[in-house]
Amino acid sequence: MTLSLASLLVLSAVDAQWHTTTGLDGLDVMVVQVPSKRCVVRLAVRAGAGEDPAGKHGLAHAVEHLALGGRPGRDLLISSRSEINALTYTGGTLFTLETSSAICEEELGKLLGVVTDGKLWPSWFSSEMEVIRREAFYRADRRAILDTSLFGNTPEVVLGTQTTRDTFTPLDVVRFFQNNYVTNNMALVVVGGLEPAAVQRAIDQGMHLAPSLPGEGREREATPVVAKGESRVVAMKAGVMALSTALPVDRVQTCRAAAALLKLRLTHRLSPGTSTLDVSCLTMQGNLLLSVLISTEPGNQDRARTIALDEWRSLRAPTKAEKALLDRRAQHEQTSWLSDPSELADNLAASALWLRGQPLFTVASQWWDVPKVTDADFAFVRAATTAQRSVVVMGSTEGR
Amino acid sequence: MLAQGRYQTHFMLSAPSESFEEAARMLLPALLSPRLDPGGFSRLADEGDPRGRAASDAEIIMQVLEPLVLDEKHETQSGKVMWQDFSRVQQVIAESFTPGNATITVVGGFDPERVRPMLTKVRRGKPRTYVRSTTNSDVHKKIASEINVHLFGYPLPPLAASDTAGVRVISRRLSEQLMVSLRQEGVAYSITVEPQLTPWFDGVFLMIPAFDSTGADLEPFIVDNLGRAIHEKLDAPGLAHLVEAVQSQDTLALEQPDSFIFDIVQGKKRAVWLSPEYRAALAALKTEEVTRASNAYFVNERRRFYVHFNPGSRRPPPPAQPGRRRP
Repeated sequence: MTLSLASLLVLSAVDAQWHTTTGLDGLDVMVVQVPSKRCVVRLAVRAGAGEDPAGKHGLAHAVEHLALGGRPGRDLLISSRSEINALTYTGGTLFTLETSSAICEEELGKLLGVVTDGKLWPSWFSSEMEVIRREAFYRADRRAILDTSLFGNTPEVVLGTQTTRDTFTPLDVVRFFQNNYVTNNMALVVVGGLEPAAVQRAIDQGMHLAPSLPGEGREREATPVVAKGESRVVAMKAGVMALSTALPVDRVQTCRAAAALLKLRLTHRLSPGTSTLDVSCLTMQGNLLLSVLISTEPGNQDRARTIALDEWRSLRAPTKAEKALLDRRAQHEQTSWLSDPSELADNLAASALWLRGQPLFTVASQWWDVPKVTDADFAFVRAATTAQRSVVVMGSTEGR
Repeated sequence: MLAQGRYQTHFMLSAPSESFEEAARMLLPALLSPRLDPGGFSRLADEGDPRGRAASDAEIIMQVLEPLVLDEKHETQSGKVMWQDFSRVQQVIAESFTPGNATITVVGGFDPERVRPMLTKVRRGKPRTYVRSTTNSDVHKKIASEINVHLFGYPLPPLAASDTAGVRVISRRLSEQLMVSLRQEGVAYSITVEPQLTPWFDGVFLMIPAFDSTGADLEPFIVDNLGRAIHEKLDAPGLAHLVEAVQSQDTLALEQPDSFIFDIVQGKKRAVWLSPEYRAALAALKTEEVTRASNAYFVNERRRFYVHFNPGSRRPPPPAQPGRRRP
């Protein structure tokens, strides 16, 4: 594959070069070259638990395990000089690499080789199924919480249950891989101090998949948010409230600006008494979600809920002072991505699970730019948060 | 960001390099000569515990472990401010929140020559005497938990640079070898082996989330694997790989000042790991030095504690009361 790179000149606090292309084999590639010692890679596969066949919940996750679970994958996981991981969500699978820019090309080539070589190591099947049983206890990140609360996808949907996993055969795993791990079902995101030519060399060295055939890969449609209005769910993280509104996927800048403003105001009003306040804009199941996650002590939940809803419904445009502060914070955010580009890479990869080609690249640059928004953007968000919102309070099984 | 331990309170400031000085100039007097607001205190007492961040599973495990190792009866009062008396709070702040009792760590792009005068301006007070608690000679416990985690601890004395390098390398080696053997058996999902230098215990912790499907006790199995991993001969290429891996870990950590400074203040990676002596010792490490570190610090007799966090240890729920319904 040859990277015929379209470069974007981005006005920002940091000297960044964007390079985006869809290769002849169908692989979408986004390289954000920044002067960073750090290099973060996401290989996004547009196949997650949403593609599990009926009655076989957990199969996409098992494929992820076996793709990295064979001997070369284990060698890479265990003895690598980098941090390598893989995560399966309902909307797709991400293989992640975090390393120094100096060794990123070599490590990227190895990761691509392990994931795409199609050796799924059936002899390791039984032990890896046992390993998955242990994993069921250790997942509770932001996306998993929102997947449960907004879309009803409990951890069992991704991980499967013992009953559904008992139906898997090594042949199921191979078929899932062959049907879904095709190049035009994948996107590669690289953020850090790696130039496009180096990414090209790593792809040439590591990518084992043949170019996609016509019709391979699928266009995917967004899954609507299931939780409407107010609801209560039983979840692994009790005492968490999630407040979310879906915005059009191409309004990333609007969403980021609204998230920053809400964070500013909620931090001021909710403290003290709040353990965690996480205001974010993220792509999930093809939706762009403006979301607030609030974790409070039990006695503070009602107060936090009232304050959060008040700010949510009446989001007025920022004052002059707020705007000045938000501009500085947005520039700081760009600077912070130099030392830790993970969040930027995650956002780009999440978009890549649902968009492809030029529409993806157009949306992607909005994740980097300092948001340029007007009062009309906040009015747009206010109309959206008034028209539709989900308030989900997560509680434990106790008290039911 | 605020993180509170039993012996330390950490305040963390993250700012772009160009505005760091301005932010530090505001923060330092606020922390080191604080003026307390009685109204704010009473709101805090009413509302609960304003923790700056949610603790991870690993941090919660360490919090549970601490009183066990120190052999103290530690009643936690989660979510409650224990002192309702504002004057008592003022007294504690006056005694403890002084420059003489604080350590300031700065990581990232800053000019030391410009930061130093800020510190000399606020310097006053005397450091409090620090008496290290004596620890339990042996802890072997099962603790009720939502998760299944085996935790082993091997104490470490104060180490010279070459021993520190040896301990880092053997920790990495144990991590890799246990991951292979326990994952091959399908009993473990992930394994963490790392030296931690905390105010209450200096040692190497092995944190192994694992259980056997039949309910069999995994402790002997893990100990057996651990013993083999410790005593297996290390050759020169194996050592070169481990040294390179540890160097890469250190480089990766330094490239992320936000998380690295958190590790330093939590005691995971004391600043000694950045010293030129340590780096030189790591680069020049020999197999026999690793063997010596293994024999000195990782043999079974040296193990100080084993704690099994285990859902099987949960107490059964009390029987339902006749005539009463759960709300």
